[in-house]
Amino acid sequence: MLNRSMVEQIKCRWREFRREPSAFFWVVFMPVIWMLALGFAFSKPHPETYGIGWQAPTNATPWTSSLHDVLQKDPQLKFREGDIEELRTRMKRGEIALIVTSSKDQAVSYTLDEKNPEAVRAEKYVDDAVQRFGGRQDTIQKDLQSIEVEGGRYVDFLIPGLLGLSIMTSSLFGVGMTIVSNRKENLLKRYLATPMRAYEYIVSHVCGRMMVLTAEFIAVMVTGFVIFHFKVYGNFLSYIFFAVLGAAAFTSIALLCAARTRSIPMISGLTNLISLPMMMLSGVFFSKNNFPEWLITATAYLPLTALNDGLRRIALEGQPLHSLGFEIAVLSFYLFVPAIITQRLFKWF
Amino acid sequence: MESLLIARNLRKSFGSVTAVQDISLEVKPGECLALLGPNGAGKTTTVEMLEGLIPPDQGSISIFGKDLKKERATIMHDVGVMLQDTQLYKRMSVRETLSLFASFFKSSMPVDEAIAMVELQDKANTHLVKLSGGQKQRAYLACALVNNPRLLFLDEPTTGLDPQARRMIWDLLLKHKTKDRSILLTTHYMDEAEKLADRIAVIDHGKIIAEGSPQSLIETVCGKQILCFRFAGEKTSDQIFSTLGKDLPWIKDSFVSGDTYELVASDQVNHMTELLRVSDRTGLVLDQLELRRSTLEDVFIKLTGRSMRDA
Repeated sequence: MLNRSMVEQIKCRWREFRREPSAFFWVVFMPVIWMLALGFAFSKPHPETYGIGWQAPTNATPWTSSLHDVLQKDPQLKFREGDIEELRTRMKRGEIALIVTSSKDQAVSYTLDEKNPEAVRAEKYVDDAVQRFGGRQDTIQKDLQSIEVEGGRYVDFLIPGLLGLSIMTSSLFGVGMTIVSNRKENLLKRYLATPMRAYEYIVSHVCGRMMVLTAEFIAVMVTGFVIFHFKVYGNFLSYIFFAVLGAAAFTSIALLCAARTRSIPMISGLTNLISLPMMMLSGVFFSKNNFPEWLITATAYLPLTALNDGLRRIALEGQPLHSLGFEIAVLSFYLFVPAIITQRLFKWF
Repeated sequence: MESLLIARNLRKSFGSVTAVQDISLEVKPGECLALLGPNGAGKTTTVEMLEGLIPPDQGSISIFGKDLKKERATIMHDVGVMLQDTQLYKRMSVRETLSLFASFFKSSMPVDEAIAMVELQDKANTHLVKLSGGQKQRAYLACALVNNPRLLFLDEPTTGLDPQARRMIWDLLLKHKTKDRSILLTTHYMDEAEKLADRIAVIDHGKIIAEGSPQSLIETVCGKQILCFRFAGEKTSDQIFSTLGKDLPWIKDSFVSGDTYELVASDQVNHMTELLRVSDRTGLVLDQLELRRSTLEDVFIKLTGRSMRDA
């Protein structure tokens, strides 16, 4: 199968990738930059801060002045003062989530949008501080013990997600764009006017994708191992198998998108249409657990969700391949179904 | 000698547009056949059917005695193709591109030999994006010649090139022809057809309207010479035709381009004398009167009533 023509085609794929500086940058450096930025930003405990506005009372008393000072000095509060008009404007801009007023001793009123979760949390936090200031005593003794779960850091969650994201974008954009631009420039037609076998061109794209996958896999994993001491608790070969299966599924989707498309804006739009929702819904940067139950169920069938979940379960939970039947089935579906449709639809020019 | 390529009654439509109506042609060993015609005449559709890129709606094609539909994969090992408007990989060097194309064929010449053949030795390691239009076209030609094809298809090989680059491509093709190889060429340049072709098929509206060697086409369709004349003053062609038409009925067969009249006729000297006599009598002043050598352009005008540029 690996005849001279196939070898030349594969070399050609590698040269296309290697000599397109922007492709190399996006594939190798982007996930690393994301990892460094987010990994360091969330590496230390980071208590939430709230923006609040203090509406100065018309008749200030020593009690209201003391409350003002307590809130102003609280490190978790970004404290602003002003009249009600100014504070409302700041609220519209998102600078503050809560307006606090105290017009007489022993009384405080809060203004907030109860549909805004951040405002509700801010009100709870501020009210807690106000009640303690007012003399509330907590009767139950509380003991807080902080532990670090192995593989439970944010960066541990992030690294497999970034690998999944990188595999998705490089496969969709790399394969789709190349084929469409080859078609647009009549290169596919030129190939067809030789004895080249059609499957060689497609197989060369799959092989090219595996070379790119190797580059991005090494970039992400080496950065993870060296800088963040990331550990794969499961079988590393299973982890590689999942990455390869993911790349194959996304390559197959990319081939389908490019099967007949002739224009670059069209393929670019199509690729964005597919990748953007998955970027948001497949738990790349943050856990899907905050989504409503129906959305979690629906997104489980997305290829990026299956890829990310599979990579995480192997890396973080040490699960073996046979316990990932659902994820493997989803990715296999996206590998075979688009490939079969592409075979019927593909046009060389 | 048996023809390398025989096409019979080819027909191709795209939706409601019939690009090729009924074309039959043959290419003999060692021969260069040019399909000459204006843009949109059906040349590219014809040649793409012959290359097996698009299937004809009707008709049959056999190359090297084999049916193109059934044995295309085998046939293509001995065929070279240069398409119109192809862009090969911009960031691959000439040598890398030729290695890629050479790998498709059962037998091919060494890559360096192909590079030398198109005189690109000093650009062998240059990426295609950095080549001039002429150099790029020579690299594409090398890709078409790398398998030493018995039959070479060239679709408008010099369109968009400067005169020097065109001449260089012509020289390369003439050299290729001396190896007893066949070429099928499409062009809308008369000089290209005259320079390269042993035989020309003039195509218009998807049909071959005349066929023969350049010289025989010119002589049979136009005669050796063309009578050209121009009148002083600003009379329209209608006015001229009505003034002279009664005495010189043939004048209405002239082709008018701007204020110049061109007439294809067998008995040019008689026509010249008559024109001088009658215009003198009717008070028309001749500004220009000459006989010039007929060209393929005249053949096209005579056959279609339009010039190649206007067609």
